[in-house]
Amino acid sequence: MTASTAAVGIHGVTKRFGEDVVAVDDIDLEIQDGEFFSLLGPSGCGKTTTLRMIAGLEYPTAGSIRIFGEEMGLRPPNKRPINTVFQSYALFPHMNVEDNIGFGLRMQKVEKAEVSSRVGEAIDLVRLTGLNSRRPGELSGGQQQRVALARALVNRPKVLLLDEPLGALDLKLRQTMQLELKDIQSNVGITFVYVTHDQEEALTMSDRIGVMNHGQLVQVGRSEDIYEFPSNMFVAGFVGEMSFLPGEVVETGSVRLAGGEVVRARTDSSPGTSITLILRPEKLHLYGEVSEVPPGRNVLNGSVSRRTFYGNSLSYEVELGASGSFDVQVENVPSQTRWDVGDKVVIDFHHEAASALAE
Amino acid sequence: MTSRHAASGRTRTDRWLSLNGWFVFAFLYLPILVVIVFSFSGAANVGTWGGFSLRWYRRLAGNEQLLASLENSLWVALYSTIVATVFGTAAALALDRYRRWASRGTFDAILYLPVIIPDVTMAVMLLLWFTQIGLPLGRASIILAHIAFNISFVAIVVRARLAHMDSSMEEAAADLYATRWQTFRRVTLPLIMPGVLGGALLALTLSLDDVVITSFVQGPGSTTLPVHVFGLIRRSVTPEINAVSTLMVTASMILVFSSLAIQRRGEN
Repeated sequence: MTASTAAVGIHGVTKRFGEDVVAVDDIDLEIQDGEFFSLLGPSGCGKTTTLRMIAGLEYPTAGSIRIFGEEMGLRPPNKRPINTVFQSYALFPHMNVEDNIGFGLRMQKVEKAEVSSRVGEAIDLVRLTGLNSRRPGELSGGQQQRVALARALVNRPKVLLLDEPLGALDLKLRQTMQLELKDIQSNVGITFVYVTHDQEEALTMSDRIGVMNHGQLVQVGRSEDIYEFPSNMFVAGFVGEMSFLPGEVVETGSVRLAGGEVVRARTDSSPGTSITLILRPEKLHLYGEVSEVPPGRNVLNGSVSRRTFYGNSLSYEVELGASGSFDVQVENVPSQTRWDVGDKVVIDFHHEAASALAE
Repeated sequence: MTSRHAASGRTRTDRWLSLNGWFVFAFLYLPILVVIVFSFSGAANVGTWGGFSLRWYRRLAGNEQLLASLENSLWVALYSTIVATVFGTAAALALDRYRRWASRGTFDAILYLPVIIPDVTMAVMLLLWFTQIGLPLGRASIILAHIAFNISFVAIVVRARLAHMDSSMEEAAADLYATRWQTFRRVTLPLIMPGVLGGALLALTLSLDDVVITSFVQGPGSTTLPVHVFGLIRRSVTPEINAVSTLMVTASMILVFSSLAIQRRGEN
């Protein structure tokens, strides 16, 4: 019975607001114990609503939510073995760091001595030692974020929910916190359910990712699988950079592009099916002559139509004529030739790097 | 060229505006200043200066009728403030909580009505109502009347405070195992406390200052200070009035300024 062992079991859950707004549309999902699971999707896709339903801050219109097999039903948030790190942190401004972190334990009537020792441990865990008596208003954004995390973790919840907790931090701090969160999660071993619209954040931290769009779960899988093998056009476009070329399947493993070129690619549709060939810009290589391409690769001819400099890499938009155009990302290293707009180039890619998605 | 024109034009406007500001202040506060100055005059006539003296204040201290009305005023203000603060805060919370409630706009309007309608109208309505239900006029009827108009003011002040409160605070408390009562007691109430205190002080001030409504619903022996003073003026204007007015203005100003200070401190 997987239903009883999953940390979070979401079965047929739908959430409607009013008559016509369907925020979450019939979702089925099981999150395993100890997993770092991310719900990824654009704003308004229903990821936060899903999280709020797990927390008990919203109730499903239909379906069931179980925590370690236990049906949550209409149980209020204070009766669920779950804690949340809110997007705005929601720290209590009238309490200092210590009192904020100890709030949950005090509400659960934990003994005073234990409260102070556990609060102390939590403060050390998130590296806020020495800031015990500060008010939230006297802390930086990053420190407030740590207080919010400690305030939730100190209760040793069975599941920790995080609603875009790094959204308000600047890029550098966000990257540091990503690694730190991942470390803390593997140390405490608690199941994390993390909501984000940032695909890079999801890829960096998660064991598995559930991609959501229009209230539906469109793909669930390990981070690498989500990136390497998107199962539909939405995931292909939302996660990472991607180029799209229309075509049709000739036979298994072979695709004809709109301009007539035939290339080898991963296919799972029958011959004659219209497909879109998807290619990651970093998996393509550019050469001046066909003779330079390693043997056994796909080869296409095109010309550079745009060049963008990113510092650590360069991006070329390459025109294929009737077949369309796509982007090639090249690392900024001395061994790489720099191409200019108008240059004739040969594009090479491994057949495993290209997938044919049926529309 | 154009920039100099623009600059000088702005300065002229600024000068006019600041002049107007001073004029408004003078218009509002000069009469009060005159009353305060003459309350310390030793002369027996209002408006003649007879050298500095505290005689009118001394005479106040011995005026039994006036002291009785002051006592009435204080009891009325105390009771009506406490009750209005509790109910006004509850009303504000209810209106804030049910944001999706369709008829909230109507309830808002009904709640704020006592602030808008003329005192006389309110006074007549309350008098009729008290007579209808057979409530004898006296201190109780005055207290009820003051509660009736004060609830709205408290609710408005508390609503303003609630509008600034992040609703995820209460969700966080619930998420951290607090019951609804604990959430209110430990999180919501401390956060809206500046609004509640500000509203209470406003209610206290309004209760202490009310003449119109009180004079309609009072009974024998239950006169409040402002109503008593109003009666004195109609009979004869003595410099004693100046002293009473000075004390009332001072007390009101202290209350209003504390109310503002408390509300402002809470916002930081």
